[in-house]
Amino acid sequence: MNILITGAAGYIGTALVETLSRNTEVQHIIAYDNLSRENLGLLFGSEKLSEKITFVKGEILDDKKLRAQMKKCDVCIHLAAEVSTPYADVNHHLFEQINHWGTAGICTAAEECGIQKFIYFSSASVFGFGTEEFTADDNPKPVSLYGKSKLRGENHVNRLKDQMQVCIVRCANVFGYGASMRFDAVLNKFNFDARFKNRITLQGDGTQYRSFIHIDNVCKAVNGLLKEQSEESIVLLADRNERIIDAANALEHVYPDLERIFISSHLQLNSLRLEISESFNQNAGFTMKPLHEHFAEFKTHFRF
Amino acid sequence: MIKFDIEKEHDRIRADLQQWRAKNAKICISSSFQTHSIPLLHVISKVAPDIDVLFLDTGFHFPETYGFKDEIGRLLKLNIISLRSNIPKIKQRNSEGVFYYADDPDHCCFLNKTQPMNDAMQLYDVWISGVRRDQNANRKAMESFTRTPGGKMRYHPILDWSNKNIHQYRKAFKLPPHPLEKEGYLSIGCEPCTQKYNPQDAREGRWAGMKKTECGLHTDLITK
Repeated sequence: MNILITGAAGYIGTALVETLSRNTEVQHIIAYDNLSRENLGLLFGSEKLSEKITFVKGEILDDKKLRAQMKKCDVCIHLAAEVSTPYADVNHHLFEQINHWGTAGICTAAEECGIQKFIYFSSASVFGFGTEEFTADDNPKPVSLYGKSKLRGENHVNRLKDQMQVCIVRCANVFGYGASMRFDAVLNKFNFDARFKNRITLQGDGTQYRSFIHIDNVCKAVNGLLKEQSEESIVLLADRNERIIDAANALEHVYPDLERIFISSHLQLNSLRLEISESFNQNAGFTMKPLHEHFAEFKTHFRF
Repeated sequence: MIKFDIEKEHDRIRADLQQWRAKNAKICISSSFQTHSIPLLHVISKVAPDIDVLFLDTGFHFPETYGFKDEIGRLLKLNIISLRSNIPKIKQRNSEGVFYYADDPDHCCFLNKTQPMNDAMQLYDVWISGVRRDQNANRKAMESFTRTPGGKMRYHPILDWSNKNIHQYRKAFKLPPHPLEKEGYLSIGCEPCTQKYNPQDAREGRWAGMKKTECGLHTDLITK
């Protein structure tokens, strides 16, 4: 198969390109990205990647350039998005441009370029917040502008279902070492701050839940989705639900002298938990280990 | 119109089209695929099913509009051609990075509707449009047969139909409504410039808050 990955130089994209380049069923990967984060982890490194990868610097709003690449592919994995964690409520027009209209344009291009499988990375944030775990059958009620824009993107993707295989991935917070990792993601930020400041910051009283997934498991899941002829068009991608304070406790296993600062500790902030699909995760070959072991592994990647 | 006779309407439009078809003229119809657009598409599917149906895909439509277009295309066996701007969306932003629809809607309409339609008319001799006099002041003054500034024929076969006639026709052939109609959208165009019907505002929800009532297809691409 020939795959177009938008947002391929991002946190997930870089790791995914590496994983899929080792998949023998994949002939060609077009890694499409505008390098808006100026992250070059996909392009540089000591380990050489397969020759079957082509990098194209381009905007998803550049319909002409995008279509020229998409015509060469039968699978599209749409990762490109405007994300501004934790400030997901500023610049709503930019969220609209990229996450809604950008996705709408990609959908129209996919229809006309003969894409057979379309995988869209949406977000757990489309659910908003709640006290119970969200399932794929729950109605999304996004709170943040980011979540709203991702849901509007989903609405365009949904219209492709009659024409191709469609999978909408509502992905949890991603963590773990990667060549293009993000440090606005809470667990990665915890690890960075623990290592270099020996102090982490918790919002509210820290009892709020979030869903998480390790970057390696994200890649395994997508690799599995490529093979699958699933009837399920919505996948909740998470390997654990954790309270933020428990994540801090796990970090303390690795950094015993770690300090923590609570900001507005009088606040009990909202929770967001996804139902964990044990069968999906098992089939995808997820690696499951306690959070503190992940953090210890993360620590080995610091160069000093 | 004194009496609305659907069969006679079919015959009239068929006869009108015949004058151009006899000369092998290339004919197209444009459609925005709203609820009120479907009767004319149905007429065309009966009297001239081979002509091209042009859909101006601005890239800013509701997902429901794309779905409705496909549904109607299958239902009436239409040959739908999507027209798009040659200007990519990344170049459709002002100096502050804002899409033109949020800054200069006229220019947005020009890039995504008027210009692509004008370009497409290089390939056609006759353009059928479903404008009606009862829609707004601009259309009230229109004629059934007129020209584009480039000299191509414009044909407005249902110019004198009323909203009631549209309803009668839809009822007679059980034509489906646009899926957003039940949610309160009466006039549906591009999503950023469309709002639900507000009884306080007779504008039916397009370009709410502005004086703008037309996208340019029926003001710029018509001789006055």
